[in-house]
Amino acid sequence: MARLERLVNLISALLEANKPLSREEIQRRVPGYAQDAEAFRRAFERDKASLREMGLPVSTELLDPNYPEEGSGYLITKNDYALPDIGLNRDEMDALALAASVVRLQHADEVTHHALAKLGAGLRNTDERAHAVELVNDDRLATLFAARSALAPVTFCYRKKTRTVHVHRLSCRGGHWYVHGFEIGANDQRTFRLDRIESALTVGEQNGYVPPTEHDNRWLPTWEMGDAPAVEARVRVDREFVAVAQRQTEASPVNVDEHGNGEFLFRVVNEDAFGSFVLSFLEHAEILSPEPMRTRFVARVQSALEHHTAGAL
Amino acid sequence: MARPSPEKQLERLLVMVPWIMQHDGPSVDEVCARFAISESELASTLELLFLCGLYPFTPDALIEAEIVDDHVYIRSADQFNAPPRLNANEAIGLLATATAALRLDGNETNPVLQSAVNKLTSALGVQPSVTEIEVKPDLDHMLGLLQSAVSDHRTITTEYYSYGRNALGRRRLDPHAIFQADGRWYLLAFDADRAAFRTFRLDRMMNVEMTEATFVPRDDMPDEAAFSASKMFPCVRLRIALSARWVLEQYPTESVESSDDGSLEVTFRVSEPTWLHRLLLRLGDQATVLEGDHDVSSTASAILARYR
Repeated sequence: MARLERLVNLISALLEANKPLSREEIQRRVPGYAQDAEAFRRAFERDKASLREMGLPVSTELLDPNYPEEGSGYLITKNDYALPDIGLNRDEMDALALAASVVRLQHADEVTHHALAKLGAGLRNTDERAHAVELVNDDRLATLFAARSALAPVTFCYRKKTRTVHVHRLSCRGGHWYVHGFEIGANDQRTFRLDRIESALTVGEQNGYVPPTEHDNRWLPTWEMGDAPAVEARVRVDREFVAVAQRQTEASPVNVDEHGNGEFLFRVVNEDAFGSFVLSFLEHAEILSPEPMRTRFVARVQSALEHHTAGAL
Repeated sequence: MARPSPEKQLERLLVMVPWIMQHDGPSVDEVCARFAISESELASTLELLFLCGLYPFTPDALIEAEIVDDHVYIRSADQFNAPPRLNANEAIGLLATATAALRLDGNETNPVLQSAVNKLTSALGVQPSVTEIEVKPDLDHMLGLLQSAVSDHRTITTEYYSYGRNALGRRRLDPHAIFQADGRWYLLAFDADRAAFRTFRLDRMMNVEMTEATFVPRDDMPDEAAFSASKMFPCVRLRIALSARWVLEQYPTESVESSDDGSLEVTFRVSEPTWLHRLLLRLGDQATVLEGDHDVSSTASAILARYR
């Protein structure tokens, strides 16, 4: 109880302050801190960390900008702290609560309910089985979202390269989360799968880039991801599998012959991934063009056949 | 029951106090129901608030919190007249669920929920499409339909593209649950024709139709996370190069052993030879069969025949 009381008083003091409070002032004005300097320092650091972890905007500022040698103090700016009126009406709040009862983001029940509580939406009474759909979660989502909100570049290691990215969007597809954005080193749009990020995320200064425009909202299939220049490939798919191909690629055939067989056009950057995709249809799909890609595909199948036939001996 | 941590209690308090102040004397029952706390927890929170306030903690600087006639009143707490903003966890949690729910409605739009998402993203300073649960257009509709079927216990029929047999077939199923695993959406359903639960990939289901029939949900539903091929099917043991590790993520395996050179020895149950042939052709020399039937020649010939 004592710590909770101290935290409430600390937040009150920081919110009420209209200029930064020095540590000495905090120790004086907030009950519950020890007199001993070291004990106070430890307790205050712990409290500050707790508040920041909760997402409260405790800012550190110079006590007097004209006299930086005086050191820094702390405050919470009410405008930065308070939830603005989002303008949600009763129906909209109910719709959000209903959404949260139907879709569950793994391990995020408490967090989502707390968000609804902040917005003033009541919770719907649900039994466990009413969650028809479960979404996988990822620890890094919140950091990436915060970076996007703040327009702060993010740096991380991916496929053994360090990359700095302007986060534009986050998406979840087939149970994996992806971050889409502009990679500075590559000078191009890139997509990264979150569970393949090989290092911790480093978030830079806010307002480091302009917000994305509603440009490339298209989903990138595996064969469109990579560094190579793009090549257009034409594939014929047998009638019974045209719908399957449409489903998997979100593309429609550019033409359909009198038997119902379809021809698709694809933008190929990663030929290996594309070949694997075509292979998945076995004899029911065929690369028509470009000729070199068609030839290389035949060689790939031939080589695999030889490898696995040899292995049988 | 263990008391929540001071941080958790604080989080709750920062939302509860503004709400109580905004609602000007809500009933104790209302507060307890809304914030899922007991009356005694509410009482001790108010007691605590009574001790809080601003320096110098003279009576005028203290928070007033009391229960009168079963109604809760809080005054002199202007610093808490609004809840905190959504933090990043809360924002992404809510946006992800709302966006996914928008997809569930398939072809029908949900203007109220969309409007809520637009207002929320606007307040967060991001575009409405910042978070996308990318479900392919047909899957949107199917997810919604299957969700209804699961909730209402309605039998469905569907065409199912059997990856193993590289063929389509029509099935009649009792849907029990929808989940994600191995990077895919799955339906767990009872197949009456086969008198067994089966797992189906949503992206291989087509022309899903709800029937008039309803079913009684079975209580012998298997653990969703542990679906595995029948033990009757033969095994194939492969050596897989490090570069083909993704195979483990994609397909359920019987066993996996690592070797010193980084390659893996993986055993699969194979219910359909075509599935194995497809995998072997795709992996090429990244895989070698150590044990088991694996004659890919007819499958490969059929493919090569198209290129003559």
